[in-house]
Amino acid sequence: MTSKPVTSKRLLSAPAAPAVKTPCHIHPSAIVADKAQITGAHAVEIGENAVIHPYAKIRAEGGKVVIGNNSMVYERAVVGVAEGGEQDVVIGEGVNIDTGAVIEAKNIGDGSTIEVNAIIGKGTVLGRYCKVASLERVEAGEELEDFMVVYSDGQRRIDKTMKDHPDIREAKRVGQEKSIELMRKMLPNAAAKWM
Amino acid sequence: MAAAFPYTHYACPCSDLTSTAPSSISKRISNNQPANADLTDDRTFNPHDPRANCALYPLDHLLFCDECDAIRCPKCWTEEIINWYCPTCLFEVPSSAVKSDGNRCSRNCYTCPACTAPLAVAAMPQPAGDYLKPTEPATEAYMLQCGYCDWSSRDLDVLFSKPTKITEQLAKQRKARLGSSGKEASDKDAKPNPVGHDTAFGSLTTFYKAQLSESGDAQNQFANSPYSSPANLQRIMNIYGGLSANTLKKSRETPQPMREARDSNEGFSTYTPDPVEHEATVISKLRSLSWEDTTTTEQRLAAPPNNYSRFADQLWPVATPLRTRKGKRCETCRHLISRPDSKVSHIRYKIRLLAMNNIPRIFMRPLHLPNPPPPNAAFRLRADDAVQAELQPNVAQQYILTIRNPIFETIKVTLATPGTTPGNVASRVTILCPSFPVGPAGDVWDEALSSSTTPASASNDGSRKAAMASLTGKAPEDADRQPEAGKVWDRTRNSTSVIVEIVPGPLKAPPSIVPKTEAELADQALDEDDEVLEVPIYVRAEWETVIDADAFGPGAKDDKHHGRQGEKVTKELAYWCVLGVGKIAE
Repeated sequence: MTSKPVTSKRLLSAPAAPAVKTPCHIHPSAIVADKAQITGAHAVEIGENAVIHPYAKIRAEGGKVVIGNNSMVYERAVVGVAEGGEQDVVIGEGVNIDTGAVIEAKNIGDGSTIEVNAIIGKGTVLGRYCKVASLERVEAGEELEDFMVVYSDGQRRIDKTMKDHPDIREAKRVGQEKSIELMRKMLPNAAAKWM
Repeated sequence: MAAAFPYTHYACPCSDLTSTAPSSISKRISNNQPANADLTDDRTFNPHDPRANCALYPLDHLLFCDECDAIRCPKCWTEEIINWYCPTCLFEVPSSAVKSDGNRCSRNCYTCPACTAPLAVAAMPQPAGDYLKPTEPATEAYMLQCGYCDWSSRDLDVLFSKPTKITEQLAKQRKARLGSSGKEASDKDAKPNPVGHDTAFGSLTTFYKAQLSESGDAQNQFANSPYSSPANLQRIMNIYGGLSANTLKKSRETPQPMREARDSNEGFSTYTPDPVEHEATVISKLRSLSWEDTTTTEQRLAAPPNNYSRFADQLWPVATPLRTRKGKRCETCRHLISRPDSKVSHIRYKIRLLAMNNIPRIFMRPLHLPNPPPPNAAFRLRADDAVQAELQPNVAQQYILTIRNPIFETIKVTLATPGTTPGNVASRVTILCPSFPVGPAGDVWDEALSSSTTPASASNDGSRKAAMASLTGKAPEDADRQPEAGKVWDRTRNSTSVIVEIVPGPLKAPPSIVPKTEAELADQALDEDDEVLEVPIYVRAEWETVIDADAFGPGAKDDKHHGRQGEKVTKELAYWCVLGVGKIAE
């Protein structure tokens, strides 16, 4: 059997200590997992009841990152512009960022959902209650209206149900609160590490 | 989606492109055959031929008929429907219900008209009032919700009072909506056709059924079976043997020929052009909306209620079409080669004769893998993530060609390939060892018990080299082995590897001193896909089996097997296959 290169394994076993301590304002009720990564010199603001899962990455190198109340950032999601860019990232309230998503947007509106492995390019502005389905891309600079759904390899539509019926939006908000409560029970809080 | 390099496609011998062996092999086996006048012309398989695509299949698309001992491709088998089922609720629908109700699920399974994902029945959110007060049944409402694109039936303002019998509730709401708009036929918003559509369909169905029974065209209930005698018998019995008034009448009268519908009672409908005002509203609405708000042809054709809808907000949910379970029969000998279980939830097959369990399989990989090795093509997330290195022209590459044997006898394999690949780009291919045996497949324990853990070449002198060899399981001089002509590269229990040297040809002809004419330049222009290096290989396997007496019974008179039980018979299998190696760089 030929030997395989072990470079990928080495990265996980010894996390590099950050050179600069990120100035974080973490709300006392927010939960930030121990294995989450917050890097960068700019400010990071995490709102009330927000949940940051293990191995989520918040890059505040290019600008500050704001995560709104009741939002969740799942595992291996990356929030913040890549190296070399200069831009703040603001995530609204009740926003769900699923596993593996890459968020470099300027602003994500309240109540939006970014599904698994989606890629949101730099400088984009997403409206309220948007939904980006899994593996979709929103190209850099695009602006999505409120209630826009991105699905099926780039197709867009307006979610009329969400738009015309406030009780559906209320149901989504209640659902998000319930998931947050569940995650709070499951994740031990290590926010003190970054305060 | 294009297969990732390197791939192997197998050709079924049914096509005339692939049924002839190359001349080098056929000369050896054609001792008993009459001399053909066209032995001299080129009978190699050209994978760049435009018709070649119809003959090539990946291995998992091919089945094998063990009566004819031949590969069967999708063109060589017939399919029979075993049962019908709904893919969402997995309910098996009897074929009588399919004939009367149609080929869609009638049990709450709908697909989203916007994105074709399955719709779920969702309850409307209740006002978060007192938990002590029981919810009034009047406020309970249900809707169909898409889990992917968030479409819901509320876009159409369709709500249901109970979560079951969605089909009925939908039909009622549709009728109510169209019925009310039908009354105002002169109204601008009315669509003239859909009201007439459903009733016309119903009248036509009854009319044609009546015509069929009157004209004496017997419904062939046994259409599935290859033998028609039970149907003939029944038809004759119906004409002459019945005692009821209907059958006596039929036997007396001559049948009238079938005729078409004549008026709207029978379902006949003429084309009436839409009133001018209706068209004007549609056009003005179209001006204000964007392209995405109109329906596509696929959306319109997906379900009969949607056939005439122009705008995306008029689309009704689509009832899920039923799927079938099919059994496959060899066309020549009518032997069953694939038969799934009749229960829908069981995914095992009763009979499944796959080509991959009966023919030698061929794999190809480069001898020297680039460092770091390229990621496995099966694990890429997006199709455009795959980056494959291109082959440099005129640089010799060596590949390991592995033949794996799935049957339980040792086979003797002969490979043949033209020295230069056919087509516009001539690459030179040399197989260093074209004829070799491959061992039988057997139990895992056979290998463990028969072979030793250290290779034969490791010396037993306790030196460091021998210790390393026993740890890694291979001889120390393996790293510097050079391929030799006529020798097998590697041999395991049921596979053998040989080396193939390939020199990719140049895509463009070298510049010539004499300027070429237009015709010559056009001749040399590359066709599509010419830069893909594909090597056709003719594989011939021979092996000996012992005839199993149990398989044939005492009275078998099969003249293929001349010998009595226990005698050895030589069997042979030959086919073309195409190895896709890579793309040639400019």
